[in-house]
Amino acid sequence: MRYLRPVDTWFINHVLPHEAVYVAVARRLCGNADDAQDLLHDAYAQLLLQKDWETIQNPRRYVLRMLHNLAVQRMRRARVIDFRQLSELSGFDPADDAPDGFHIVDSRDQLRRLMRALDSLPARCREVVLLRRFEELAPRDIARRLGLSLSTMEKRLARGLALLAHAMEGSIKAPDKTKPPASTPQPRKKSVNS
Amino acid sequence: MLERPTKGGDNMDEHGTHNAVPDPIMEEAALWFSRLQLGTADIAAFERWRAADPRHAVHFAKVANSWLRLGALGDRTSEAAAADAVNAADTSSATLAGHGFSRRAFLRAAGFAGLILGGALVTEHSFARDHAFTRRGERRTLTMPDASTMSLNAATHVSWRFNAEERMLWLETGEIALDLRAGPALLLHSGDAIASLTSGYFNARLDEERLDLLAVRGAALVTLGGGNRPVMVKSGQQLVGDDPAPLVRPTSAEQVEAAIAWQSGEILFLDEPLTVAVARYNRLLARPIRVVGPELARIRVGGRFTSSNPEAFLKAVAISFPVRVTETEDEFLMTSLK
Repeated sequence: MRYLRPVDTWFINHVLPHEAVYVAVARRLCGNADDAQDLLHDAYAQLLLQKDWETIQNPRRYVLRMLHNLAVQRMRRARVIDFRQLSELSGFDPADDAPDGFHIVDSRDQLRRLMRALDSLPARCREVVLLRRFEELAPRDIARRLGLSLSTMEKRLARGLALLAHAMEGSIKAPDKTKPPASTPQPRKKSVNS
Repeated sequence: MLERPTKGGDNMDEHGTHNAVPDPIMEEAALWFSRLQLGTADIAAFERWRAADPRHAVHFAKVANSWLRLGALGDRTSEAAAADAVNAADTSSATLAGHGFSRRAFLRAAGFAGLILGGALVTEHSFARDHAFTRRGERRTLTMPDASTMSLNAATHVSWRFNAEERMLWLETGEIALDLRAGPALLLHSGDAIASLTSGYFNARLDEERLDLLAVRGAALVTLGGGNRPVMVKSGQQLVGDDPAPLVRPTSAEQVEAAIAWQSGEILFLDEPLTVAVARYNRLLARPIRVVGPELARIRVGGRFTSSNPEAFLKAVAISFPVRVTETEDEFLMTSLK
């Protein structure tokens, strides 16, 4: 895809496949799923701005190290510190034992999850996604087949894609049973600083 | 969870199920991606949006990732998914089914060529694959787009899609050897298995719908159907599709040699039951060998033979065992002398 820069392709192939690991670690560091997501996106954003990304030997370890450093920075700014977090930070070891270089996301389970997300898309979005992704048809031909305008198709495809991308994030956010539901007030949420 | 109304009402499916994406940046990223896919985007505006905030770039890459992984669902699965989705969907989708929603048939009709039917920006062959076939008694070696090489043993059908983002390979039948250059992990789909391969040297054979994978150099993470746990096949190891569960075992130099002998036009037997050896040989032979009678099943054979010509093998068996070999126009028959 020509609108993906080299850094995006690298990010997709070498960073994102390990997202489940980052999320697990970020959640341990932050104590709740929302902050964890936030922390991880901070790390991703820094990574995409990095000029020397090509020299990163082990992207997963690198991201884990970034998460740790960002969590420490955040904690220094926060007024209220959760002691459980402190122990997570001090005992942190970014060298995990999972094999390197594998696209964990490509496992059959992950594909099934994506498939399920595809199945649960609203029908109107799903048909546009399927036709655009799996058939070699020009957008105009798809629009004609479905009797849609290009702009309606644009919106439906966008919605479908957003839901799929969200489902891939959600799948790793969901199985967190140890934390209270998101609606519960979070007393240790970081306080505002200068 | 919040039920938030959004423009157009497209976020609700027929059952009114919650479907909102509680992430406005993701929505924006998906809209840009969608426009780029449909050729309706203002590219300069898109580049400005992406450059404005690194989080935009992150979300855009995440949407692109889902899109690419969706492609990774593979021919078999995605067709099933597409069929399911179409069946489950409303009437307008049912008309899609009427249009023949089979990419496989579609591509076959188009001669497997990469079809570029898209608009101005749609240069990606989103689902086109290349295919290669060999007949019995035939071998081929291909150079892949990334300069990796793939050799096809006889009676093999393989298809692939290689580009900068992904390397996908489908072993439909037969046996291949892969000399893989560095690049994105290669996803090998075969039978029920999906293997993620690093660079290195591999031999893969589909044996009665079960993948037999030898990692001569490099490693593979294999996920198998049937509720089996993913297994790691390291350098020098072999995954064999044994019953009840597949097995990863270390290999000897001799076993490696036997596994890759076909590439030099040879077949190597290491003390194998005659029926197994003959079955392996038959995959290569234009005129197959048939073993008649259960008495011969106990015989074990070894040796190195020419893969295209079984004459020496037949002679060796006839000399060593009480076996008569007869020849017809269609096959060689091995019968017990006793």
